[in-house]
Amino acid sequence: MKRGNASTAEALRLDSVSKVYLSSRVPVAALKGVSLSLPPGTFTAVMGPSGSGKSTLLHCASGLDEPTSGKVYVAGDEMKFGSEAELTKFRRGRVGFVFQQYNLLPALTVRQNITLPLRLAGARLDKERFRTVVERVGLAGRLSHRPSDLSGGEQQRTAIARALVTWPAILFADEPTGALDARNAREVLLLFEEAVRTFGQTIVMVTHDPAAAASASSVLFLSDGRIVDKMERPTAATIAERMTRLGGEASLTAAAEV
Amino acid sequence: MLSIALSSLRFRAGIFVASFINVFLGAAILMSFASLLDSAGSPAVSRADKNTLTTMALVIGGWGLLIVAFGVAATSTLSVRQRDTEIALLKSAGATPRQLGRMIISEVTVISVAAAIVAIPVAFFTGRACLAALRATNQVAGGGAYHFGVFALTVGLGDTVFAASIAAYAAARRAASLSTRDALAVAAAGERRISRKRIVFACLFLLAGIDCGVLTATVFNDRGFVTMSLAGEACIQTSIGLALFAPALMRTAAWLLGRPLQMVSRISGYLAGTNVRQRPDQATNVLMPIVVFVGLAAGSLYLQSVFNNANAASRIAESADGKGVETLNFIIVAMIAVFAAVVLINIAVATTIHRRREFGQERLLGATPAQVLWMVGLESITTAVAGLIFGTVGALAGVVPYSIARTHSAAPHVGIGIYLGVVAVVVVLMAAANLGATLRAMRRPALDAIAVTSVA
Repeated sequence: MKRGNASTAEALRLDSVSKVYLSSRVPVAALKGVSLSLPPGTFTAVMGPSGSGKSTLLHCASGLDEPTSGKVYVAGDEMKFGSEAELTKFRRGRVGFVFQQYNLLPALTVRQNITLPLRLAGARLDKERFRTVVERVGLAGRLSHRPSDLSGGEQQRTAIARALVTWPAILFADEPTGALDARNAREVLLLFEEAVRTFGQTIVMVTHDPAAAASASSVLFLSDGRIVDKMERPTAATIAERMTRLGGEASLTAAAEV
Repeated sequence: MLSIALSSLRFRAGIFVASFINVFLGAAILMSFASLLDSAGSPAVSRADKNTLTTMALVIGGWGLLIVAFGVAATSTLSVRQRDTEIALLKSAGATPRQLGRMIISEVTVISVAAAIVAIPVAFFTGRACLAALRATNQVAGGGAYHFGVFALTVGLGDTVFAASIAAYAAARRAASLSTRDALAVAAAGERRISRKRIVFACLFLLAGIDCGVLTATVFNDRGFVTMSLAGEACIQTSIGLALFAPALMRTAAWLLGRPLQMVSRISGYLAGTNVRQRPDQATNVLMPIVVFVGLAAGSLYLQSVFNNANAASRIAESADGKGVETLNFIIVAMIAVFAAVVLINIAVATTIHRRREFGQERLLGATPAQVLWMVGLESITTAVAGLIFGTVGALAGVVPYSIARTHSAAPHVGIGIYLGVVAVVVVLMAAANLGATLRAMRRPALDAIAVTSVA
């Protein structure tokens, strides 16, 4: 499989992406014209108070949800929101996911889970890549186990290996440490940092934990559907401080709207 | 706990509607036949008529009783097992095994009692139609009025509610005995082993089936209607015995069909094979009603066919009454077969809809909807093939002894047409139920489907 991010200058680009939910009685604008550009090999955390639109941003950018307006480019290719099958085929090899709830298939072994996206895409397994990734995530001895035999940390590492083995142009992580204890969370974040360093992997991670966001190379702050700030080389303390102010502003705007 | 039980009923309408329909149909059919016993008890009925009515009610009721009990128990068990996660959560929230047991049993009881009560008026009319049919074919004389009373209510209602409660009790015991961790693990990975109790029951049914078969071919080989119904009993008991062994049968079938499946479709076949091997519990839910349906339908239709051929061979002209008996037989078999088919559809749909989250995960990882459909389709084929094979064994367990009894030849001289018809029905039902349910499960975006709090 070719690496989509090698030749292009942008792993991900959003052009004034908006998302309006019509399901409730009053239409809710979750994203209000978000534009951003991420070069390959960057590790970006997305933070914001709950309801700020960070999950919506991740879903629209990764092709899991269709933006109401605006364009999404992954590794230079425009994402086409046609049928589910078309979108699925677009995501294959371009987009990898790591979720809070692991989403491993219980019937499959660790090895089968890791290779599943490649099989679904009908792509050949790069044995060298598989071996490297599995060793890096420390699952070499657990390949024939099933998810129910694994600890939470091991399950999440399986999910990370599953995402990395396809050489995605960009990896989206949605609260990847949310269900883990501090030690396992630390391990997951180290894996992400290492993937960026050694594989040149691009990662976008949504989190509410300043400590987790601190392992990213930059942090985007979202509030009320807009990117309101960007921080380079963040630390847990500076993030927490910024978040406190954001939370204050958000509750102030909310109070003003009532 | 009752309020939790009731809100759970509202929350998970699908599987409970399935349970309701099964209990309703089962109770209606059983009460119709049991009402013949009530009618036989009326003083104006002659001794001969009393005999006919009682025999019919007991013989047909006997099969029906088994099949209805089996169908109701299978759906009730499924309705509890699909909630292993919820039960595990309740446990971790501090529910005692006793409270959980009460919750499960009260849910099942509320549903089955409600369904059985709704079935009473329906059964009243079908029972009356049944008696009228018997009179029209001159199997009973005109004397005596139609009665719907104690027998109908106790036998009909009793069997269905009893079967549902026993199943609920067993499921509740199992749910209560699992540790919270195990319950979560089972919810994720499915049950692996067949319990010893299940093996004992399966063996008892198989032995009873073989016993009926031997009696058909030997001691009772010239008792007319009794011989035939004994052979029918052999089909049903053997089929239920085999159905209880379903998890083992399913694994064997998956092992045998694994390669061919991958030849049909590499990735969907691979997933289908793995799912059936690793989650045999899902496939066996559906395998059980298929085995019973095939054993019942193929068995009873071929019994009738052997009966007709034997009569034709020995130049017994078929009387108008004989024709009437045949028609009636068909109607009765059809009613029970429809019940078995409804159980099959309900269980197939409930099992597939329950996999919504799994489908969502596969879609997120790069499976197109077509690949998911292929996967489910190939799983259905594997299950259908296994069900047809073992159901056929069940049918043969009655048809071969009956053929020996009537024609002194173990190989019945009958056409393949009926069998092809049964195969077609199974394939169509499976395809419609499973693919329809898969499409429905995929109607919502994959993201919603994997949400942990997804409404089932």
